[in-house]
Amino acid sequence: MDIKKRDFLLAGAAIGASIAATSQAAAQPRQRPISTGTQPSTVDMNYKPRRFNKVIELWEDNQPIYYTGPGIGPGVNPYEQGLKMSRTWADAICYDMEHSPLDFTSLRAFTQGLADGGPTRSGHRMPCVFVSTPIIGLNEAYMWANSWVFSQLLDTGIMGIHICHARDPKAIEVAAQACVRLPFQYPGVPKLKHEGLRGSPQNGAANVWGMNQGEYLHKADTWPLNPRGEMIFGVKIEDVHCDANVEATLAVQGISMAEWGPGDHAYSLYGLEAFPEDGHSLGELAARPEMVKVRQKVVDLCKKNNLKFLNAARADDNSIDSVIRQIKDGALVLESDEAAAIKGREYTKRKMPV
Amino acid sequence: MDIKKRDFLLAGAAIGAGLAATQAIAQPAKRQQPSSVDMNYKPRRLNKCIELWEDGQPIYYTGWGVGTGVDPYEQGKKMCKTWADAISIEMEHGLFDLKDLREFMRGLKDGGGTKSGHKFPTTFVTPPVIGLDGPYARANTWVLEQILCTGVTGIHITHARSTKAIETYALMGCRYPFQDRPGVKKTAMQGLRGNSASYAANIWGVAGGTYQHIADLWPLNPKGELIFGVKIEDTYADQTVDATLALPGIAFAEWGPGDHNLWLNGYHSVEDGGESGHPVLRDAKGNVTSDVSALPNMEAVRAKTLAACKRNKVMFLNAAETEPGHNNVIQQIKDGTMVVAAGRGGEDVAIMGREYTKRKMPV
Repeated sequence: MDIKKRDFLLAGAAIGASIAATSQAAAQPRQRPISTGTQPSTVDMNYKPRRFNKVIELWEDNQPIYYTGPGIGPGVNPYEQGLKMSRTWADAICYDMEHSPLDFTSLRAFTQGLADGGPTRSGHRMPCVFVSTPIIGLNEAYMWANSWVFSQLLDTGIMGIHICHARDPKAIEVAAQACVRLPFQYPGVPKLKHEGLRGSPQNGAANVWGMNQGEYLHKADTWPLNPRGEMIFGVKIEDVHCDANVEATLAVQGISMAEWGPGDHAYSLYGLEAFPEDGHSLGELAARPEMVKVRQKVVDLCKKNNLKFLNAARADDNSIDSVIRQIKDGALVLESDEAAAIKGREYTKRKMPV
Repeated sequence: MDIKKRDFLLAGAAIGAGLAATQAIAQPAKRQQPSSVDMNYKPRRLNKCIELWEDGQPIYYTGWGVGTGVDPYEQGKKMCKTWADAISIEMEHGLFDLKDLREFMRGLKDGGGTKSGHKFPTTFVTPPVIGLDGPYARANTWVLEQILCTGVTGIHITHARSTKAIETYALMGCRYPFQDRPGVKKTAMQGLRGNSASYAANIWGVAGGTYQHIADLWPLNPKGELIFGVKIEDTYADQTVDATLALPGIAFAEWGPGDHNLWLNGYHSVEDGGESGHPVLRDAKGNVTSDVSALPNMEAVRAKTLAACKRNKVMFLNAAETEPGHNNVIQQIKDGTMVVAAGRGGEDVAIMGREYTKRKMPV
């Protein structure tokens, strides 16, 4: 995981804990609101959603999407947090389980809270929620052995999977084509190397999506592989092993988005020396030539394969992660705070309400 | 999973949620005894289902009723008094939560025993790990160890595609490494379970040593109190079913019509906006208007699993209902079904079946 994102998601957890704590003392100010309610000046408040997954709809309109963390952590009731996060300023929620606990029960309660708290101001049932899994892209045998974890995650009603350390294209192929898909040969979708492994029934997920099971089965497929699909699938090219295979990995059918994971990439490229024991900063690691090079390769391959590129975004124009700079560079998935999202949405003249 | 079973398990969850909400039994069991019941019945062993099978009686199961808002310990206490002989704990699509499972088992233990004199109903878990292939199964044997250490009395593996995977789960994942058990055939694979399962022994109400003596697969070990089942529920499993059901250690098997329909009849067999799987649909007069499980290709795979069960003395599992037709519980019993998913009919299905088989064990 990107170290900046990690800090951000941890901050989200702190917000959640803070909110939980303030439920007993309502007068205590929140550190960061769920949403300021700020709309872009181009917003169409009569906007009507066209599909279930808000993020895919934005991408279809060539708009970047902005995501935050779930705010789940010790002392936070996941259902109540889901209720609150249904009103988030973000388009999507990345529920990190790479380093946070693999707790299906909390995730299920969170998605139920999201569903019960909806709809969003854009008219969608809930924000898009995708999980960064503890299962990494190590190799094919490892991925087959852990395929059940994806079934458990998707059965909670989430809409996407994000795989860390996408080292082996064969592992990613198994994840994208078998682990996250149902066994149907969907109309208009090319026949893939692997058949979907997800099984019957899907009552829990369908309930969160507000659909009967038949409709869920028809729509719970990955986009853009299946244009009717409402699921997204992402990969993190975040170490030197991933770099060696990135061309083959990002050509795998069934991927929606990809990132270059600067936090882990710095671990992999520079080792322990880049992280002094006394904690002092060595400057912006992401600006180093080796880092710029691996990032650019992921950007180029995303464009080549029609994938959405993911990068951190900040409101500060002087930051290497300046939101405007990132959008100009082609980033369509932005890990950000609300300030950066406000700036980015204004820049892209977004119509969908926040 | 069979869709009728799915609906039934959902109903169980809804009842559970209702119980949690109202602190009252929303749908109390009728607890209707068969006319042939012996109210002085004394149990012979821990696992009620094995005892019924030894007597040539079918067993009837329901869901565990644990879901959002349901206290698993309290639900366990309530479910100790269920009308069902066994409880299927669905973790293939239900959440894999070992803490909930432990609490549920503790509740069952504290529930005061069944009317038949057993400590609690049989419980078997459908785990999230499937029968994909040998390496996959070896990598996930730890999942079965974790589940068994909660004190459950059975495992039910979905998508039993690979014979090697099933052999691995059954013989390595569910057994202790003893190769010198008296009267038990030595197997090629040796058990992987380790010392000690003190929580499970406590749930069973036995000493740790006793647990290790009896926590073995029946009927491979006649003294074993664990049951192991498989689901032959896709076209890959169909290809290996003869070898899979001939493995030592398997107690029961089903043909999984819900999943089988996905694999055999494809995308268009699931109506967009309709029910998934294969519900038996009836009109207002009760006439069947749709029954996917009666399609020739579905009947063929069911027949193959049933035949393999009979050949290998494995108990056959099927859903059943009270209505007339091929899924009627009496018809299913005549057909050889020994594990009955009671479906939407719930307890009424069991009442009808138990009367037909002149059951003596109290409910």
